[in-house]
Amino acid sequence: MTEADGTAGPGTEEPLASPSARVRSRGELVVDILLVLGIAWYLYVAQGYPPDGRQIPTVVGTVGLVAAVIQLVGWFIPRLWSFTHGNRPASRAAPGARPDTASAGGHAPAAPDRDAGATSRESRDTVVIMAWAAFFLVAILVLGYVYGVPLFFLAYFGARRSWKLAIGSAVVMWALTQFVFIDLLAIPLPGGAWL
Amino acid sequence: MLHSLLDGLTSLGTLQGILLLFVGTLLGTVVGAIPGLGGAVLLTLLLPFIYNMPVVPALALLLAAHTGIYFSGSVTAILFNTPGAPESAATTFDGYPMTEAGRPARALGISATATTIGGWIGVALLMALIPLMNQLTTLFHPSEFLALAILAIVLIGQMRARSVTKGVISGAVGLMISFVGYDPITGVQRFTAGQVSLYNGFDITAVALGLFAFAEMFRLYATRPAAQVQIGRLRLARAEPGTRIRDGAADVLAHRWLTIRSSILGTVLGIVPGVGGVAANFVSYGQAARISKHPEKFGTGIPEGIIAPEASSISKEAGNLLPTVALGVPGGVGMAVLMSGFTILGMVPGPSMLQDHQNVVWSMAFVIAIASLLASLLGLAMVPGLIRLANVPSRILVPFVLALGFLGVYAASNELSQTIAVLAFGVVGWAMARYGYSVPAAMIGFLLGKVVEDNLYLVRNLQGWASLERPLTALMTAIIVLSLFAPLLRRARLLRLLRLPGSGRPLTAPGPSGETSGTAPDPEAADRKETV
Repeated sequence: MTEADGTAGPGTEEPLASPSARVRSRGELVVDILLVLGIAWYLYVAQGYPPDGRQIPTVVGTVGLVAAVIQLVGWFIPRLWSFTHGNRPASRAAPGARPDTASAGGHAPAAPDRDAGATSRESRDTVVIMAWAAFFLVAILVLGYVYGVPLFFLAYFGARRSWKLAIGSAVVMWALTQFVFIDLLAIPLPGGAWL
Repeated sequence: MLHSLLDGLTSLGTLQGILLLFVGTLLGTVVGAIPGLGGAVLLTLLLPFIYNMPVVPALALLLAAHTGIYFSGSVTAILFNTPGAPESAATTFDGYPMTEAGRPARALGISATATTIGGWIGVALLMALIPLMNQLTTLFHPSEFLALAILAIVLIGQMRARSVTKGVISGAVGLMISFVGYDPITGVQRFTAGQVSLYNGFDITAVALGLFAFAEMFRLYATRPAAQVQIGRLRLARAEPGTRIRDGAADVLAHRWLTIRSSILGTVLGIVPGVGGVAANFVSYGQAARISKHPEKFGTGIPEGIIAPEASSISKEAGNLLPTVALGVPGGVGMAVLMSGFTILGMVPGPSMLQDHQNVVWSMAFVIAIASLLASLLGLAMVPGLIRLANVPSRILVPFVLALGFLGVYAASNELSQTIAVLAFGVVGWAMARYGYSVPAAMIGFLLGKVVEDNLYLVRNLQGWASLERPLTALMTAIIVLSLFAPLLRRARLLRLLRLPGSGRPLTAPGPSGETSGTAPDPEAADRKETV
């Protein structure tokens, strides 16, 4: 189930109700479970520290755990949904806002009537860009900034067959890395594991 | 006071200060026109560059960039009906109809003038309030600082999250992340999993870049590209009488009381942590419509509909600055990132900042005043360029922001492990935004973690439960409790009203914060409709 904005994690969009009904996503359930487990682990680890060191993380962790458990329980109890997974329309987040404009550019909820195909495409694209970011990070760790940055731009725009843009951006970013960050700002950028 | 005011002006008046103020405004103007790249993203990208800079020029760069986004964000709102920054959303209501009516230059003139005058009024109020705030902060004890920090996290969480529990969890997660690393009280390493690179905790830049910039890039990449907008030839310089920029400026002067009222409202809303942001502009628009003699004309392209939100946009930032510098509690997202800048520059926001670095506070007020004018002039001069920028596909921008983020986080921390952290926080920030959690609350929780921990320790050891007998502490605690439970009480009251015989009036079902979720004669029936 997805909430009114139809949001869900990658590959988890399965609208199980009519578009007009307020629904939630399995991705949201996964997040709820991860939160409970994560905060519980945090509290468990905190108990290993001296009393003064663990006191405040324990207080905050307990508050977070209680909220996360209520949230998880709320997923299964429709009467609690508005408290735990309630949708806040843009008109409420920003009084007087039109739904299409209030969410623009910010973290406000998206429009409620997106079709399943659109959300599925968005999820796929999100996975794609996260994979590109991970590739970029690996390139930096392995080859260092000076080679990793231009390589990423060559690969990213090359994959989109924009070779002019690929070569141009790679050169510009290499120059930025070398001349601004290394020479001008005197930051000793690391060379990478293979170099 | 006069001495520190002049000192602040002198510190800003250096070549470096003026240059960085100009660069910041220019960057803000350029970035503000690109939908999706808001002020928080720009500020986080600039954070790594301020290391080793003198304090005032560094803050001039950040604050000018933050101020600069507002007018250019309104340019796209007026011309394309697409706000460059979320804060400009209310400007579309009357700005775009005015463009459709063939008066884009006049609408831009109104926006530029109202933004500038609003910024000046906000700064004037800020200057008047700083000495008062200086006195007020002497009344604050650890329990008040603790309550205020929690209040900021809770308010921002409740304003920006989709439900009460999500708001609480967002703030708690931010606090929990802040406890990673060296414990100042016992000296123990906490939650580091034995990683030496985490002994000092997560770098502020990594958290800010991840939660705001990277998360926003992930969202932006997946967003359907907007259609290229063509608005024909803009005749800003040689427009017909009645449609010129100067006619827009005259409109603002003709509605001077509305401008002043909206600016004051923006400043006041900005002072309350969490209430500013996007809401201030809508509240300002709403009050203008309410007290107008012709409210039915709002939304059809009338000057008042542009003046009200625009006058409050920068004045709200001036208001936001007050709790940030005086109490160490950021008023909004931009100020939360700016507070990261303070930390990088070795400054501790709070009462000591007003006493020890008041000149810096005055400098920041001057930066807002100068940048609000400069941004309007630059924005008007760059309108054709801004239109082209707004049409740049987001998928071309995304890799550049990622690259600057990875470069910046290493420049700031000198730790490769923080580049891994920035990506992890990017994924976390994306998931939070996607599932309705509050990213700003998490960021503010992270920033205020030390304030909460230190003051909670002091309250426990020095004040104990007696702290609740202090009026200010009790008041803030009551507001915290109310902001958490008021939505529930409101919902219960509405349900009770619905159950009363003869009260079958159509009513919108209240959500957790009293929001409506569509017409539903019976909220429970609406609940039953929600299927798994």
